[in-house]
Amino acid sequence: MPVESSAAGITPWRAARRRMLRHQGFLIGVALLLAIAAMALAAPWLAPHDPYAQDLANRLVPPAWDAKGSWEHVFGTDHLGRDYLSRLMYGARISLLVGLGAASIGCVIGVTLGVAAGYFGGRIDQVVSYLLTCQLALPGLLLAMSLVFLIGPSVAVVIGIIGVLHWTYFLVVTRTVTMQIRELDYVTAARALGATRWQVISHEVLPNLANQIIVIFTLEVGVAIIAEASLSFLGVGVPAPNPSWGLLIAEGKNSMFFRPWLVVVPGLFLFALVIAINLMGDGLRDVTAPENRN
Amino acid sequence: MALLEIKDLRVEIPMPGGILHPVRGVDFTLERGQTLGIVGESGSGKSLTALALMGLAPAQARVRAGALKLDGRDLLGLTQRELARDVRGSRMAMIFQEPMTSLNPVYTIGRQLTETMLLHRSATAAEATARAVRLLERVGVTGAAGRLGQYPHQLSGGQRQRVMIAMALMNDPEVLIADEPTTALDVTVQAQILRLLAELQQEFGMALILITHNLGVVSRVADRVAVMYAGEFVETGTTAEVFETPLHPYTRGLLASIPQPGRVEPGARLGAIPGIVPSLLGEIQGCAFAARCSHARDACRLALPPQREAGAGRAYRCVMAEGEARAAASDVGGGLRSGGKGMAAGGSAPLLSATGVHCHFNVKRGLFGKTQRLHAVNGVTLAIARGETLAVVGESGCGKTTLARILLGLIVPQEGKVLLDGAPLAGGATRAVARRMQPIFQDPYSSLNPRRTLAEIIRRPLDVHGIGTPQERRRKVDRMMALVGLHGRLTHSYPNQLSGGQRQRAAIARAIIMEPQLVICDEPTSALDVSVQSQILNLLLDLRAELNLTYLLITHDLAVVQHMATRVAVMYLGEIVETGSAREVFAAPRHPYTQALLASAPTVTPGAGIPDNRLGQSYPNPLEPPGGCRFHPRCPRAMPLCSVAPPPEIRDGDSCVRCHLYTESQPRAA
Amino acid sequence: MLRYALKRGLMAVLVAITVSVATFFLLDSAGDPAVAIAGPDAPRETIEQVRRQYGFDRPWPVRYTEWAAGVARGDLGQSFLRRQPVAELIATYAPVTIKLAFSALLVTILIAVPLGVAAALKPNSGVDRLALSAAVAAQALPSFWLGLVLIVVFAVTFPIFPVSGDDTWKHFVLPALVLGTTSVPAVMRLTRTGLLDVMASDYIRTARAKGFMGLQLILRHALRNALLPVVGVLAVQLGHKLGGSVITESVFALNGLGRLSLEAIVGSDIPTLQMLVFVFALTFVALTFLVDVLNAWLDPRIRLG
Repeated sequence: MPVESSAAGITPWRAARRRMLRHQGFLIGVALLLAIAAMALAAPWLAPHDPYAQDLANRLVPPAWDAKGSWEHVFGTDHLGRDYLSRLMYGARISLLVGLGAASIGCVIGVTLGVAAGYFGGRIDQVVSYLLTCQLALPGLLLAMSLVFLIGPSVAVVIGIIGVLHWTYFLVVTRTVTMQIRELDYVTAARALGATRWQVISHEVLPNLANQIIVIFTLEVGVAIIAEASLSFLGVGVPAPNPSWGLLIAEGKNSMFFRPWLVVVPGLFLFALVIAINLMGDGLRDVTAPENRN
Repeated sequence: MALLEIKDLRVEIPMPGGILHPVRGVDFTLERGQTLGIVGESGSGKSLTALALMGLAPAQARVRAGALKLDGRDLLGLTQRELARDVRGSRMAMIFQEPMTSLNPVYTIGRQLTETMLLHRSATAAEATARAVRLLERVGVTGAAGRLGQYPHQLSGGQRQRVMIAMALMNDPEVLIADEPTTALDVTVQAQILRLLAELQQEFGMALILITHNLGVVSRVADRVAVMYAGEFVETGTTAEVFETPLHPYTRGLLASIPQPGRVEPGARLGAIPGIVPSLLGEIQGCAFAARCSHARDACRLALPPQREAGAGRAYRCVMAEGEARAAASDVGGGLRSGGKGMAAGGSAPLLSATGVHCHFNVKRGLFGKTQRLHAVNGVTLAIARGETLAVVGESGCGKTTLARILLGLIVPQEGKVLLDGAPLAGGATRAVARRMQPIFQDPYSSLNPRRTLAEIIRRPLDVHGIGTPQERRRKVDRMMALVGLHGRLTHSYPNQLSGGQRQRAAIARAIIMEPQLVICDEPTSALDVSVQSQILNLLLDLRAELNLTYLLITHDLAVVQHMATRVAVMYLGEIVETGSAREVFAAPRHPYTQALLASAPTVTPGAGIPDNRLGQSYPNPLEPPGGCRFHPRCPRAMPLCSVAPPPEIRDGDSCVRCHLYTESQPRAA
Repeated sequence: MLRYALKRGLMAVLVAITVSVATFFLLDSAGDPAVAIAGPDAPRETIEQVRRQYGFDRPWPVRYTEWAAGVARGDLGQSFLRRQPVAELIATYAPVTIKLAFSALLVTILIAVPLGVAAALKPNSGVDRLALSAAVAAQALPSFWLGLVLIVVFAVTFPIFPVSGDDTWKHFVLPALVLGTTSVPAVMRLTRTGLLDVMASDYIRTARAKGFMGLQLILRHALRNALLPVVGVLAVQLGHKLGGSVITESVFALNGLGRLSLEAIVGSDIPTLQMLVFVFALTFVALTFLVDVLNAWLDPRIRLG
């Protein structure tokens, strides 16, 4: 007795894809991000010079558009004669590496704690909430700076420290959403099937968290990138001679009145990268949960 | 001159995919002192019609009409500012469905009442306060003066709705629009509120527009009724005319799809309207109902059928001429529709039994209040025999959902035993238990995982229990889908692509795929539209016969109970107050609460009004249940003994009742 | 209500203590304080001597208890670097940071709240899009870069505001702008979403049905409900500004606690650092406690239970 035969609309995946292709912000973000990522990946082939090669005879050469500049060094050289453009390109690698690495660490910590607290409630939730409050009360930047300095600055240390201090957003959202999902009937139905707790969490809860986790992950990559740049700027992040954009700005600060591009250009790159990531993240949020928009 | 004159009201809402036409040409007039009931299912446009009348349609909506006049004055040409100043809240008032969220939580009741008057009239604060108190008393809120300083969250749902009514009356409106005013309330409270509305309408001389999906309510309360489908009125007339001689196929279909004791025998198949409501995006060619109509002809699909007059104030929009329509109406009405596929009587050893089950929760009031104990289930004993359908009936807060979870093994009670086929349910919903007993839930939108396809959802029980090879599982899923009436094409659809009825069918398929013996249905049709409810009820009845299922049906809808149940257990504040065979309990209810429930249930009885269920106003607080018999503060037959001692269970064969009015020697008469 | 306040207060203190323990432990294990003081190139005996002299050879719980007891007494430790009591240092540098934090909060409120309200009242309009774009841009702006750019502009091109030092109120304008804009995206979005939700709520529909509209509707019925959560977030942001001003102070050469922290970190001045972290945590916890109590008092659902 087939009675109901028509399904309205299209699958959620196709609907999402369609929305993605129409969302201007998302497309701009993705395009920009891909461009910078491509530059980062292809740096060994694209960069005109070795970013670490010092050339003390050619210090502080101005960029190509200046009268005294040349196309040999399109953006000029820094105070140790290193080619600025090459350093900029390699800097993208550091930003992206730190961003992805730190966000991943934060994601694992935050989501695990969030799902545990949200699903099991009770004591576990109390402990996790307490941990969260303590973490929020910590002056994160100060602690990050101190730890990086005391342990010894390196890229790995920076990734680790930033990651370990940036899980709160993941936790808060995951916990809230898990608590909501836990009350829904399809979770009760799964429990009534005799499914184990892990089966329920992995089959019912996690797929419904995935969208939000992706969005938060994207935004946290941006946060981590800026955190790394700030730490490096203050001298307690990625150590010299790595071409971190934050370091480039710090190095250029001393002569910024006469050579403002030393400060402006890496900052613009940072701004562009993070804006691209944020546009993509916001776009993802709009696209995967359009009901949350307005 | 009519008080309200509406001609060709249309509402259009521009959407990304096109233009939505939720209201497509509504005409009616309303006289002073008259009650018009607008009845329709979800998506029919009835709420939006009311909002458009008040000028409260969404900002992007375009409202157009040939005429929209209140007492001769044209409302269409007024600006929002003029409407707000002169009409809304003063001449036309509206109350809404959700009393729990319709009041501002940060202002006192008193302030929300008085500000209505102070906004529209030049009255002093004292005058407004005095009127507020008077109105609160009139709508039946006890301790009115004291309530002024209270906040909404300190009142129950029924009390809040009374406050909403008082607010609407502050400025003596000429028209009161009530949009599903009682849908979110319990049956007994619903009856009280509806009676109140009827009384107030008489007293204040207002015209009342009552919007509802409940045919029983509208038949009893309204003078005239308009049946709305897909944005237009398909039939109008007096209540008696429309319900006794439905001229439009949709009206006929609606009436045939509700279980009507006295007209349809329990267990018989209900009429069903196939298909779903058409999309309102873009223009609809021809009759909107044609795709679902058994009388449809080619003409129906080509052009909009004419509005036909069938007497004074009687109209319907159909190709069928009056004579033909009347003939079709009499075909359906009258005569008992017979018979069910036999309902097995009880008698064998109980399949599921609960003995002395106590379950309490520790609840914290507010963020800093003390922890209180909520006795959700208080000494419940019941048994379900193989093949029978036991209905557990009660209103919100009675503990029936908690009981269901306990029986499923999802909650472990502090005291008491639950036995499934003689074996205790130790440690919860184990695999063995799950194979024999499965649930179906109320909300088809939250009972399916939105990120999984239908095939995955229906197959899940087999996956979890490791039954069969992947091919066997696939075949079983196909078989189940056919059994519940889902087309194979839907196998890889996601829940959000399906209608409510389709989702509920999927949930049923999931529940029966392991061939359980017992299915626990928690309000299986309450969240569905009327025309879809009958489809699901028919399905449940068919499956019962075909698969030899035993049902535990939890519901508040007495019509469904009478239609499907063999035995009934009535629950109040965590206790079972009466059990018995369905026939007995409905014919001769013993417990005063059961009597009140039955009196409050709105059956389709044109012009009957709402009887007084004599329950009074003290709403029970589950955290502080009354001493003695829990029902005594509301009981119209309470005796001094009732407030002191909890009544014992009086058994009489298969039935029992928990009331001081009955004794062992006299279990029937009281 | 009193019970609520007490419970929250106790929790607050507990959190501050936990934070101080965690910090002590982390700072202690992250690096070797003896090495930090003696210098990485010092010979082993010197390092051992320093270790014994400062008592670093004792287990850290013992040293923590000593420190905690000292704090309870009012002795906040002695700076390794400056050879001054930490309490004095903090007292000297605190005023600048406090001035900066509050001015930054003012900047945030003045920009974010009106923008959020305007955006919510006309969703999808030009104002809304502007507000959301501003939020996206501000989120991507590294604060230190914004600071440097502002310095270049205002020192070279339009010399209106001074670019370093902290003597007059003018010195705080640019730093407040920089520190303030970091919170603008979050606060703006919260205000916007909060107000949007309120405007779509059932009780606003009731108010409209009663005849309210326009500014009267918003001011009387919507804003109060919508801004309640924003107050909480603002307090949290204030806490963050107090503890996170190091970048701004560094860029604009302000002599506040942030500057002091940076110096302490680079100079391995553990006592100062430990105390600073504790002070910041305590302040944050106190602020959130005040906000909790304020919220509980303002929301009748919590106040009256």
